[in-house]
Amino acid sequence: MTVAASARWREPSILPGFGIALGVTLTALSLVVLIPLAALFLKAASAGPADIWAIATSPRTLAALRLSFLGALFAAAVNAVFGLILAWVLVRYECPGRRLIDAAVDLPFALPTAVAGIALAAIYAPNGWVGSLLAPYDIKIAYTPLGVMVALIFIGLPFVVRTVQPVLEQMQAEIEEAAALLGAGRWRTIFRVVLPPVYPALLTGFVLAFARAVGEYGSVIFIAGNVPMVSEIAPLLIVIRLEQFDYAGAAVVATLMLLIAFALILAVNLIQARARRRFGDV
Amino acid sequence: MSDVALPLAVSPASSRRAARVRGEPVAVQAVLIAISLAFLTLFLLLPLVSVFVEAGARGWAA
Repeated sequence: MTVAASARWREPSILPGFGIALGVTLTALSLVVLIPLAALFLKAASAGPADIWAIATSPRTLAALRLSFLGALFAAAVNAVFGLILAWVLVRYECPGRRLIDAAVDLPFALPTAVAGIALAAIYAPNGWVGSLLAPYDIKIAYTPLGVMVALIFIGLPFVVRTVQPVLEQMQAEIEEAAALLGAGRWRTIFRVVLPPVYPALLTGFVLAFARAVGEYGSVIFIAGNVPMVSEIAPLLIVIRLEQFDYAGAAVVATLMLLIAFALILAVNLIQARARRRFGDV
Repeated sequence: MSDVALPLAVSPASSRRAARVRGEPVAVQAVLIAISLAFLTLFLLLPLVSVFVEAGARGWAA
């Protein structure tokens, strides 16, 4: 309980330089994050309440926002599941080509997003390597919302693997051996002993993958087909408005995205804070 | 170290099992590895390979 109480207001450390450190931090944060975001809000406000309401409630905007956020949530969830399995395999098992795979996981970071988008579109298009296999069953991936999710999964995978991997690596063998000595079966050991300390990292990876996926533009537009109301993502809507020199309208959509994303990430962080308190300092 | 210090109250058969207390059955390992490889192939390796194939198709001639 004292932890909860002290977390609410931390005393400045006895280390000197608290004031100047806080000042430098806040200055950097303001310059890079807060001032641009404030400018975004200002620009959006310049549209006037009637226009803001019209843009925010237009079916096209709502459809794009829904696709962006649900798609990002779905992709982040898929990445959380498979990223955890992948991290587990990379840390614990020996299989041929493991180091190569380990290195390849980072490639979505390095590849220009447009290249990734074109490559994914080429593969998942009805005449592509994977798309042609699914075409006889009437399953279309490219140029549908599914295609959006494929791109978002590709983009977000490294976040989950790279946040979970070090936690699994640092896990001490003694803990598992103790659980086994105390009579826990293997599954029980995994789900009650090994995985709980991993969850905060997994959640962080989930949030990072989600945040990246919500804002992802380059890779999605090539595979999505960008059909309004069907496979059009919110960032594309912003770009469309920008190209029409409708800066205020673009800012309105951007502000909506920002607010929704902020609310979601805040909620996840609250869950994470609770998990941290429960599982200790992980 | 700790293994050595333990009393030898376990039979050899169960100690062989105890040595693998941190691992999963080979079948489970195989399934997990297969899942990871399938996922990676679909979402990571195929796009990367296709980039190289496309580059190769145009690049050598150019």
